[in-house]
Amino acid sequence: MKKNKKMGRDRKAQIQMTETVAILFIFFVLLTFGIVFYYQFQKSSLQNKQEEIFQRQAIEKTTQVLFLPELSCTKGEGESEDFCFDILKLNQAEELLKIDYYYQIFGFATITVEQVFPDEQDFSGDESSSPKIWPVYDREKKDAEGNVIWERKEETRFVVTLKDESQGKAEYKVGVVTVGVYQ
Amino acid sequence: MDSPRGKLGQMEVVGLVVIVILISLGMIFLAIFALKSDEQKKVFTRKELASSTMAALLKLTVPGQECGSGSDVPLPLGDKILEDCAQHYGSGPPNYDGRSDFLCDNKHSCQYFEETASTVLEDAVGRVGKRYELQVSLLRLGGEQETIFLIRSAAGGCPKSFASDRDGSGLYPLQIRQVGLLQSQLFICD
Repeated sequence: MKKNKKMGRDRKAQIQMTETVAILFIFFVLLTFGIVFYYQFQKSSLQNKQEEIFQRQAIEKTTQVLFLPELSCTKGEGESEDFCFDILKLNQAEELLKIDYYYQIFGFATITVEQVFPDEQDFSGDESSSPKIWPVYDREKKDAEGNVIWERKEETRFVVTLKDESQGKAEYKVGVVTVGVYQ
Repeated sequence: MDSPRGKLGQMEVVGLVVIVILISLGMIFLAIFALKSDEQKKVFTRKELASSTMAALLKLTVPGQECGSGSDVPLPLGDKILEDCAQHYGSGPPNYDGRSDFLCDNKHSCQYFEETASTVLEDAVGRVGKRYELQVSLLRLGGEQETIFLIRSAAGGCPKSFASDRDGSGLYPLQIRQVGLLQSQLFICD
């Protein structure tokens, strides 16, 4: 009788022990799951932050280009016209923007301006003429051997007015400025 | 009558439901924060693109000889041509009757503006995959308002149902002598 009672207690203790082990196992599984989830969340937050900083840089560089005095139109009194590039300035921009001063402003980036309207063929009648494109700034991210090392390129496009005074009178055309930033 | 074991089971189910709800909420917040930073850039780009495109379109000039002005002085599309269009815009169809002062490419100023604006918008905005909608309306001195142009991208315009995904250039007003006020606005959406 006593033996049977002892066996019953042992069995109960074994069951409780198994229950405790199972609970501990589930607890650690949940804990691991939580740690993995938290790690993934932190990783994703960090990536988002990096992405945000990169996109902010892209926006800042685009804004700097849009209001760069070296490119923008003026009316003679020094007052610049919004979203307007002077074609005479654009013709000289590539050479001018090669100096290191502009690298400090734009870093690794490419800036091009393309005339989209009028299509110059409309007036010149020369069908072989290619679209007018001004490569304004070009610094691709490369290593010492000249290999490309950027992972991603973020491009932002804006429509601008192109002022042409080469004929002695102010003509306004439409262009697209593309600012590409490297990461 | 519920047994104690049944009650225990119910409590466990309630606990599980609470955990599922909490995890779902966490995931929703995660998705919201992940999308937020990208949206900020999109809004900025759309707003600036709409403003810069509108400014470029209205500033664009056309050669004076093309419009029979008798001079080689370039004519601003958003000023002289649009003003001429508003002054010679009929009150009902046919709205373009070929009697405008300027006849660019032998077309009524309104027709010329519409065609040029469509080409510019498609070349500048449409080709980068954005949808657009240009609204030009005339507020007459008498008070009545009518829409002169409604130019939409080939992929469709930017209706009000796109509210969260569209941004506008703001209103560009132009005073027209003896006619009223012309208001132009460009919307860009993804």
